[in-house]
Amino acid sequence: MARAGSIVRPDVDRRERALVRDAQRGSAVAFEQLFRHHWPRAYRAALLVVGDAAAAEDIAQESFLAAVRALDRFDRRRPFGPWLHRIVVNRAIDWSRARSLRRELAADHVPEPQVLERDAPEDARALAAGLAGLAPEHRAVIVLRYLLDYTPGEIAEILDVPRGTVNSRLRRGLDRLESSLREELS
Amino acid sequence: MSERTVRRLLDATPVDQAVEVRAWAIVQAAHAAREPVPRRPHTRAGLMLAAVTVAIAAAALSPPGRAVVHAVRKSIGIAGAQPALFQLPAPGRVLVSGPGGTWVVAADGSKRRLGDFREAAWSPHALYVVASSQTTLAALEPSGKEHWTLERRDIRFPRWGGGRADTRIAYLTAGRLHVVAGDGTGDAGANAQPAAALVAPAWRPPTTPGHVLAYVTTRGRVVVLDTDRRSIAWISHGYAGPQSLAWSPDAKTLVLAAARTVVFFDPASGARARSRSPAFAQLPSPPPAGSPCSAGTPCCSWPAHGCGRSSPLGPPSLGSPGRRTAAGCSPACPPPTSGSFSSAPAHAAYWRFRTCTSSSAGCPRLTAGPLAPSLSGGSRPRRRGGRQMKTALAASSVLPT
Repeated sequence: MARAGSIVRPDVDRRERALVRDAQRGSAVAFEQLFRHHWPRAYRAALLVVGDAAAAEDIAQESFLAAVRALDRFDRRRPFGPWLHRIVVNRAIDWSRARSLRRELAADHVPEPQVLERDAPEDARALAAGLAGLAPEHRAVIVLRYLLDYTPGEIAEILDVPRGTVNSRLRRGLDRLESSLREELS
Repeated sequence: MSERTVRRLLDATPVDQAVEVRAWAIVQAAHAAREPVPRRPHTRAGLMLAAVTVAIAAAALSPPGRAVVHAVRKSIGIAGAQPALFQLPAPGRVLVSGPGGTWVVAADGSKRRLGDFREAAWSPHALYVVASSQTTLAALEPSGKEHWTLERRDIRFPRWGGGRADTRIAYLTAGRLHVVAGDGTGDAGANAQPAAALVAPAWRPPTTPGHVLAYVTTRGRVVVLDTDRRSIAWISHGYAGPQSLAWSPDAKTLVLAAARTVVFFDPASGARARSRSPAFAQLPSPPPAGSPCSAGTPCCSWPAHGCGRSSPLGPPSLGSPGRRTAAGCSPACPPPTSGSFSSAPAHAAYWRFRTCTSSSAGCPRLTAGPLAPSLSGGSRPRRRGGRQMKTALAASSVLPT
C-alpha cells in the first residue's frame, strides 16, 4: 500500500517548498505562514470528523505539534498539506472510535458534543447532524474528498485502505448524508 | 444531492477564530523549541565524499570486506565484544529515556523506540507508558501506540500512580504540579499548592485507597498531598539540594535524597524517622560468575555507579566516580541517563539503570545497578543474590480508552 508520501501535486507551490525549508531551518515567520495557510482546513476537517469542537481543537493542535516534531524528516519535495491531513484525519478517526467505546462504558458521564452554536445556519446544523449519523470512517472519506479535495486514490493512501473501500464508503456516506439532510431540512 | 452542495456545506462550517489563536501560541512555542535543521552545503567535495563513503560501505559488506572488518576488530580488541545489549539481567522490560528519545527494551535485548520523548515512566502495572517531550505529555502502549496526548509547556517528570481501576498521572510544568487521570481527562494544576521544585514527584503505593502524592517544593520541603481531596497531609522542613523521593513498597516510609543527606519520613505524621549520610546505600556485590552479567562482560558493568556522576535526571551516584570501575565501562563515561525496569505482573523487580557508553565498544549499553534511595520492605535494602527486589504493586491499572 502506497503511503501518503507518494501523493504528487505538480502544482505544489515553490513558495510552499521554500516555506517548509525555512521552517525546518528555524524561521518562525515561515512556519507561521505555513500554519496560517493550513490551520483552517485542518481544524475544519477535524471538527467535521469528530463532531466535537473541543476535541477538534485538541486534535488539530496536536497534529500540528506532531508535524513540528517530524519537520526535520519531512521531504520538501512532497506537498505539506496531505502529510498534515493524514495526521489530522487519522487522529480524528481514532478519537471518534475511542469516544464510542467510552460511551458504551459510561454513557451517563459522556457530555453531548457541541459542534455548532445554535445560531449557526440551518443547513450547516443539518450537515453536522447528518455527519454525526455516519461512522467515523465514512465521515473521514467525505471530508477528505469534498472539503480537502483529495481523489479516491489519494484518500486510500492517506487512510491506508484499499481504493475500493474508499469508493464504497463515499457512496454509502453520501447516500446516508443525503437522506439525513432531507429529513433535517424538510 | 450534488457533490457541489456537499462541498458548499462543508466549506461553510463555521469555525471559531479564537481556537486558532490558542493553537498558534502552543504550536509556535514548540517550533521555537526545536533544533533547526542546519544548511547542507551542496558542494562537489561533499558529493565526492558521499560517493567514497558509499564505496567503502559496499566494500565492507562484501565477503572480503567483512573479513577485513573482522580482522580490524580482532586487532584492536573488539572481537570478543558483546552486542550493545543482548540480555537483561532479570525478566521483564526496561524503559529507557535520554536526549535521543525513549525506548522499551525487551528481555532479549530488542528495542522499540517510542518517540522523541525525553522522559517516561511505566504505569503502575507496566501496561502503559507515560512519556513527555518539552511540550507533549503522552500515554502510550509499550508497542508505541498512542492513546492520548496533552500539550503543555516545559513538561517534566511524568509519573503514573494509582490502583486497580483508577490511576493518576502527575507531572510538572515550570514549577507547577499537575495531576491528570489515567485516561487524560481532568487535568488540574495544583495552583493552590506550593510551587514544585524540579524533583520527580512520587506516588504512594496503592496499599490503601486514594491517590496520595509526594513532591518537593522550591524551598526543599517535602509535601504529601491527597490529590483526591486536594489537601495537604503534611509539609516538612526544608532540605538543601533535594534530588529524589521514593516510597517504600508498603507505603510506611517516604525517603528524600538530598545533596548531603537521606531523610526517612513517617508518611502518616511527617515525622522524620532518621537521616543518613549518602554512604548508607552500599554498592551490591557483583552477580555470580557465569551469569550473563558477569563482571567483565560489556552487557553488565557492575556496579554502574563507577560510570558516572549525579545527573539531574536521576538520583545521585553514590560512591566516587571511578572508584569501582567495572570492566567494559570506562571512568570517562558521559553523564548517565536513568531508566526503570518492569517485570511480569506477578511481581516487580525494581531496578534503576544507568546507560553508559564505553569508548572501546563505542555503543551505549544498559548497565544494571541499584541506586539509592531504593527501599525494600523497610528502610534498609534487602539483598538477594546481589540484587534488590521490591514487592509487587497490587492489582492492575486499566487505561480507559
